[in-house]
Amino acid sequence: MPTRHYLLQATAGLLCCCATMLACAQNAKPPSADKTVLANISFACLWWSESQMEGMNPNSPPPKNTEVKLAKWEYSDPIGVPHPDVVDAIVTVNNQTGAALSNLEVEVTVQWKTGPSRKASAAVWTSGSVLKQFRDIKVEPGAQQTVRMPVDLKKEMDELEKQNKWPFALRVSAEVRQIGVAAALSETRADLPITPGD
Amino acid sequence: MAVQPSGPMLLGSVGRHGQNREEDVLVVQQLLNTAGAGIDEDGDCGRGTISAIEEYQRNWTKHPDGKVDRVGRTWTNLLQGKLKIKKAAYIVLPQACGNGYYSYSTMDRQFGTPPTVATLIDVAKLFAVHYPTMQIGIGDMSFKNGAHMAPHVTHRNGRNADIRPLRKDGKMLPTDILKPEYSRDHTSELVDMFRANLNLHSILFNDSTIKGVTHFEGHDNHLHVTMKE
Repeated sequence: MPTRHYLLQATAGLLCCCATMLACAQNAKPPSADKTVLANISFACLWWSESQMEGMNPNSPPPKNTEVKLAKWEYSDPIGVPHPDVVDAIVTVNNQTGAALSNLEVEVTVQWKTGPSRKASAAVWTSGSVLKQFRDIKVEPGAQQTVRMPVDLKKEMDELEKQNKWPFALRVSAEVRQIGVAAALSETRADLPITPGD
Repeated sequence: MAVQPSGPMLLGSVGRHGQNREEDVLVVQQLLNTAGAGIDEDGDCGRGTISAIEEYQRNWTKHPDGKVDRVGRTWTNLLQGKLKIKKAAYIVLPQACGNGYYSYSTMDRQFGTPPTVATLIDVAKLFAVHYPTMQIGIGDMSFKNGAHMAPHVTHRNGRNADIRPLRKDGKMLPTDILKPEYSRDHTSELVDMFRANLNLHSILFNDSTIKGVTHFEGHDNHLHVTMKE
């Protein structure tokens, strides 16, 4: 019986991993095979560590001091599941050209998938707006450089709430270019699903 | 044909999916405050105003739509000024840890109807009798006044409580049905104890091997328990 139980757990875990990988694959826009500057985006925030969570007095919580990667924003447990007001979008630029790169710029845009609060199926993507441009980025051969910028989720939620709407997802896109050159060396994007409570 | 009482007029609808002209919203906010809403009179039809409209409509319906039409029952009643918003008489879940439960949400989010709070305490006590080293984690319930509890859709009527599944190690930490520390046996017993209580209405939870729970998206890591009263 225990063996069967663990097999079930292992199967469930495997299914979960597969689902996560599939979701990532769907969210990420893979760069072309011929490009050797690769960019990717992840999301992170500060949250409580497990040792902080255990027995925590929610009325007097300690400062959040542990960086966690976010696959989604979800309010299903006020303490146990990260649902930060502000999330950091982290763009990583990998130089696989074999030569140093300089004078790079990274343009980061955001979009929101918004719709009526109780109807996720009716949500649509807004047009993109430039969040930030990073310039004069240098990356040594074989190395990587990261840029990160905060995205204020709470502000967006508060604005939309006035219209009885909800941001069901955040999309961050990044283009890496040589300054003064229109064609992008690399493009990527990532989505952060935003799930309200029931 | 309904006869409109004399007084202010609306040029458009106000509230959820309403036209929400600023002048109209302001008039409705003023009338709602006369009825005891206690909301900002800013001409902006936000969640607070819609919530107040809903609470006002609860005077005659269990299914408020949060909207005031130019000609309709809500507007007529507001103009007549006879009905008042009934303030929910919710009580706070005692925060004392060690009575078979612990809180994992702030105190302002742990209000419920007296029967709901009593049920939670009773079930926690019963659970503690059988498992004295384990405690039930109780999270969001309702606000004291039944206001909208962002980002929840529900949790306004004082009859909902989120409860963490039990863990094999008994730690006061979150878990979900796919984690190895999740204890199906203990969680199942907890569900049975709730089901044995006459005040239980329903439990949303995604471990479908447990009898008496209903699968619902987003409920891998908590039981959404709803009471009858």
